[in-house]
Amino acid sequence: MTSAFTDPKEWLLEITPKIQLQQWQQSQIYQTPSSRWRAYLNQICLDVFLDWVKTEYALEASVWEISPNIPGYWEFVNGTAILLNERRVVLIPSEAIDDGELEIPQEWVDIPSWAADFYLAVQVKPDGESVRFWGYTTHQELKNQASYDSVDRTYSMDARHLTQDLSAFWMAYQFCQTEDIKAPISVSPELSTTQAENILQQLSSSKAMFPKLEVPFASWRGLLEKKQWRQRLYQLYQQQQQSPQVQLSPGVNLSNWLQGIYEASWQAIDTLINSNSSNLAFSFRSNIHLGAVKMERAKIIELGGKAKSQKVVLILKLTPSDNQNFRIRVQLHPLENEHLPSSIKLVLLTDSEEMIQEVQARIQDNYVQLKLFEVETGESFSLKVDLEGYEFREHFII
Amino acid sequence: MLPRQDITEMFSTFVELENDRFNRWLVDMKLRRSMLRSLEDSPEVSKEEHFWALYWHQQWRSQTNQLARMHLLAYLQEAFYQVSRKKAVRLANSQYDIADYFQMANAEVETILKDFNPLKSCNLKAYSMMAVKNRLRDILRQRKEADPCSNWALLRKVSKKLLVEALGSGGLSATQTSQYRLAWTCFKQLYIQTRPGGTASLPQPTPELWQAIANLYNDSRHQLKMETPECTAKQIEEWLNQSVVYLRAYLFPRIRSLDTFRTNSDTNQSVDLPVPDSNSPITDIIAAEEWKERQTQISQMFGVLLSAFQALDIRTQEIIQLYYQNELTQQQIVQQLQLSQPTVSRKLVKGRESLLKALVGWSQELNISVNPNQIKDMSIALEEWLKNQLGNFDINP
Repeated sequence: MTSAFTDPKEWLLEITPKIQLQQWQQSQIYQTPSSRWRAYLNQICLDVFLDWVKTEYALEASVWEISPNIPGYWEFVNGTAILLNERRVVLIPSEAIDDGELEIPQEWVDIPSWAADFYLAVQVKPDGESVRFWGYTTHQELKNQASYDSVDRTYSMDARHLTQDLSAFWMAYQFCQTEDIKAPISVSPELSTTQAENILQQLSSSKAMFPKLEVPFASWRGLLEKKQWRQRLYQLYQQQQQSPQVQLSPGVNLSNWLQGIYEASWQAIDTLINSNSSNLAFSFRSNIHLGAVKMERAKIIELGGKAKSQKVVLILKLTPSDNQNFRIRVQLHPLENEHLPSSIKLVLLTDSEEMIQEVQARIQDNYVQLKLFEVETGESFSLKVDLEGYEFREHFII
Repeated sequence: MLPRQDITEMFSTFVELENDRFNRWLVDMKLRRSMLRSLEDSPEVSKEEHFWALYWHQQWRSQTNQLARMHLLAYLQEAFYQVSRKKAVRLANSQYDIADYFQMANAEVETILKDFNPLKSCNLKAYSMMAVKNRLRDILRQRKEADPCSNWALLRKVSKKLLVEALGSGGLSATQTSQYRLAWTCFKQLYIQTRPGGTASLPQPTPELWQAIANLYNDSRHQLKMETPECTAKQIEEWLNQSVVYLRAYLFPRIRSLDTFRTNSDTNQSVDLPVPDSNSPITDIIAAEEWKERQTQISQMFGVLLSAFQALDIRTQEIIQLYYQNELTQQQIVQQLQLSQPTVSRKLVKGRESLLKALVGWSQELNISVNPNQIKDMSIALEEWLKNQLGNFDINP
C-alpha cells in the first residue's frame, strides 16, 4: 500500500474495499452527485481517523452533527468536525494531488459553534485506497496567515504555513493551551424568527448552484449557528434537489390561508375531485365532511423509490378553536388507486425534528390520518411522508 | 565531485554536468568580483562559510543586493548535487537522472530561501539539504499521481492554488484567470463520478454535460456579479482543455538548460552594483546575539535527541537509521529486516513521535510553555537532526 514517497511525518491510512463500499452506500442519502461525493470523501476520512486514534492513542472521539441515515451539512459544506475529549478537530478532505494549500470553508472558522481548535489536511485517494493526513494548522494560525477568498467563501492556507508533521499535531493537541490555539471569534446577535424565515425564503427562491452565496455571510452564519435553522436548511436542500423545476417555499404559511391566500401547489379539494378519479371523490365524501370548514387544501405528491410515479394526496384542514389556537387535521389519500401503498408513513415533527406522532398504512388502507392536534400562532411544524427510502417533507408556520 | 574550499569560490561558482556526472566548477565572474569586494570591505570578518551564507541570506531577504540570490544558489550547489546524486542512486530505475533532479533542486531555491529561518535552523546548508529532499519527494509523488490521469481526472485533482498558478504561468490575465477558474469550479461541481474507484480514467464529458456546465457558469457569473460576458458550452470546453495544457506544463516543466537559472550571468561589461550602504557585514546580521543563543539551544536540542534516540528499542533505532541515514525506502527496509510493512511504518511514525515528545518535554523542563509555533520549530529541528546529524554520531559502537 505504501509507496516510495511515504513519510513518517504523515499518517497514511488504508481504506479497505469494505469501508469504501459501506461509506459509498451511506453517502447515497445526499441529494446531488456532488454532495454525495463530498459525503463519501468525508465519511472515508472520518472512518479511518476514528479508527486510528482509537487504536493508536486509545481515544474515543465523537462526531459532531453527522448521524447515519440523515443528511446533514455535507449537503453544502466540506469538512467533518470531531470532538476529541474537549478539543475540536475538523478534517478537511481533498482529492488534490499537489499539497498546495488547505482550503477551509468559512463556516468552520467564523461561526462560534462550528469553529475548531485544529484543522487537518487530508488527501483522499479513492484509487489508491488510502487516506493521507499530511498537515495541520490551528484556528489562530489560520486567522493570522490564511488568505480569504470571497468568491467561494473559503480560507486558503498555503502549504508552507501549515505544520506538515502529524506528530506535531499530536503534541500540540496534548500540550498546548487553548489561548495559543484559538483566536477569539466575534459573536453576532441571534436571528429573530422573521429574519430567519426571510433568509430561508431568499435561499429557497434561488436557482443558483451555490445558494449560500445568495445571502451575506452574516445571514448564512445566523442560520447555521442555531440547530433549529440548520435543520430547516438541510430540509430545504433536500426538497430543492428533489424537484428542481418546482419553486419550493421554505414553508407553508398557514396564516395566509386564513386570508384566502394559498400556495399554488395546495389546491382546493373540489378541483382535485373534479379532475381526478372517482376513487378519490368516494374516499373524500365518505371521510371528510365537506363544507364544514373553508380552510382545507390538498397537495398531490408523486412518490419515488419503490412506488415510483404513484400519486397520493396530502390533505390539511385548519379549524380555528379559540383565540390564538388552531386545530389541525391531516390525512393521506391515494389519488388514482383504491388503496395507499402499504407501509407508507405520515409523520408529524416539531421544529427540532422530534417526532410527535406517526401513522402507517396497512395493506388495503384507503386512507390514514393523524390524530387531531392543536397549534398556537407563531408555532411551526413539519409533515413527512415516508415510504422505504423516499421522503417528502413540508414545513408549516402559523 | 571536489567540494570547494575557498570562500570566494563557494559563493561564485556553479556545477557543470557532463554525461550526467559532475564535470567541473564554472566561475561566474560577476559573482566572483562581488564576493571579493565584499571580503575586502570587511577584512575583520571571518572567512567562515556559515557567516557568509547568513549574510547573503539577509541581503537577499532585505532585497539590498541583487546578486544575493545568485551567491546563495552558488553556495548551495554541493548540497543540491549530493541530494540529486543520492536520489538517482536510490530510485535507480526511475525515468529521471541526476541532471533532472539537480535541475528540480535548483528550481526550488527561491522557496528554500523564503522558508529558511536563521533563528530556527542550524545552518542554511543543512536546512537546504533537508528541504530539497522533501521537495524532490513531493514533486515526484505529484508527478506519479498526475501522470496516469486523463485530462478530466487531472482537473478534478488539483488544488485551486495550483490551477491559478498554472493559469498565471500560462500568461492569462487576472480577468481571464477568474473566468477559467469559475469554469473549473462549475466543472468540478457537475463532473462527478457515480461510483468510487477508477477516478484516474473518468470518461469524456458529454455535450449535455458541457451545456449544463455552461448554464451553471452563466448563473454563477450573474451571482458573482462578474462583468465578463456569458459563455457557451464550446467556450467552456476550450477553456478547460487549455487549462489542462497549462497544468501539465506547470507540473512537468521541460528540462531547460541549467543556464536559465543564472540569468544574472556576466555577459560583457559588468555593471558594478553599488556596495549596499549599510555598515560592514558583521553589523548587518542584526540578530547575531539571538542567533548565537539559538545555536546553543539547537545543540542542546540535538543532545536531547541523541539520548532520546538511544532510549528507543533497538529495532526502532535500526529502522530509523536505515530510513534516514541509509535512505532506504520503507519497502527496502521491509525486505532487509523481514518485517511487515505496517510494522515498519508504525515504528517509524511512533519512533519519530517519541523523539519529538522528548523535545517537548525538554522545553517544559526549562519552564518554557509550548505553543504550536514552537512545536513546529521543534519538528523542523528534529527533521534536520534525523536527515543530517544522525549519521554523524557513532550510535552503535
